[in-house]
Amino acid sequence: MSCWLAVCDTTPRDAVAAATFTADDDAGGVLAAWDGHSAPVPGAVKVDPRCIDVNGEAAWVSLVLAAPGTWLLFDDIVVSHAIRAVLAGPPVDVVSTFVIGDDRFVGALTAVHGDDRTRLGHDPFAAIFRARLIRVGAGLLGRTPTPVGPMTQRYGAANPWPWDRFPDPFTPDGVHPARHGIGDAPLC
Amino acid sequence: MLLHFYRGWWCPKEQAYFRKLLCLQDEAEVAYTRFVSVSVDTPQESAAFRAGLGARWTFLSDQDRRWVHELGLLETTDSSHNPYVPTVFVVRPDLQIHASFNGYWFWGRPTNEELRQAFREITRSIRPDWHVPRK
Repeated sequence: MSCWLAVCDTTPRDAVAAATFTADDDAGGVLAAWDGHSAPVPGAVKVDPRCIDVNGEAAWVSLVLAAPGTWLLFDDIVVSHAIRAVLAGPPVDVVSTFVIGDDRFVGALTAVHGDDRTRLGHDPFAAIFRARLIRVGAGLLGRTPTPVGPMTQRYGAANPWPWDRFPDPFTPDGVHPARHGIGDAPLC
Repeated sequence: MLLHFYRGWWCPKEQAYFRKLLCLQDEAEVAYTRFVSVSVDTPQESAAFRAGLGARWTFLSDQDRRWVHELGLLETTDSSHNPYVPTVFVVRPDLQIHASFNGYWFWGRPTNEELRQAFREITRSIRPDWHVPRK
């Protein structure tokens, strides 16, 4: 099961979480999340499910999204370099790359709760595709555990970084017994 | 995961050992391996030390010495800093300790080759596809 995110004009009825956003330089909209095996709407991107929390507070977000039809291989050196820069930099409250298919990087989301948007002053992913600084309302973004470096790889090619575990091969539900209740995704 | 307790930024032995770990960083970043380094340095000192090293893994601060006693890792022979005894644990994904190294004397610390061997043993034991799957 994957978690998907898309920018929409209105709140989709089948989304599991959604929040309106405003932007300084653009019209606002709705950021919506779904779970499922395939993209729920055109333009949806896969995101680390730990980002999504219906009880999440409002947040400032650096939203980096490739133009439609544009992508880079996730293994492209500029993506690797941006991930290294994220790991070397100060922690944020929410971070995930966006992927589609098995190997395509199409952007990233970096967010901080509260009012201090200066914490988003340096988004390494903004050097790859266009970044928008947006204010997202409550009810969508939770908190992701700070990625523990130096790992830069995806746990399964189709999963976004920093999702940090393979399905456990030793338990029926794919979760190691020691991990039950630890860091479980809040929603998706 | 490598769980590494160190005295502090000021210790020449730690500076030398971190230079060894940095050599392993580029391998760990593609090998599903994580590092965590813990000391009694303040968060600000840890962040500055980390940035100066160019380390891309997590540094944790126990500046209040809350866990050093709990873990039994206080270096009792240094009463001015009250730091951690240099110690390295290699930890499996289920958080069991696979190997431990007492680095009170520098040569007690694991070499990068010993760490590679430990990570290989763990990976081999947890990955059913260690041997290339065949159709």
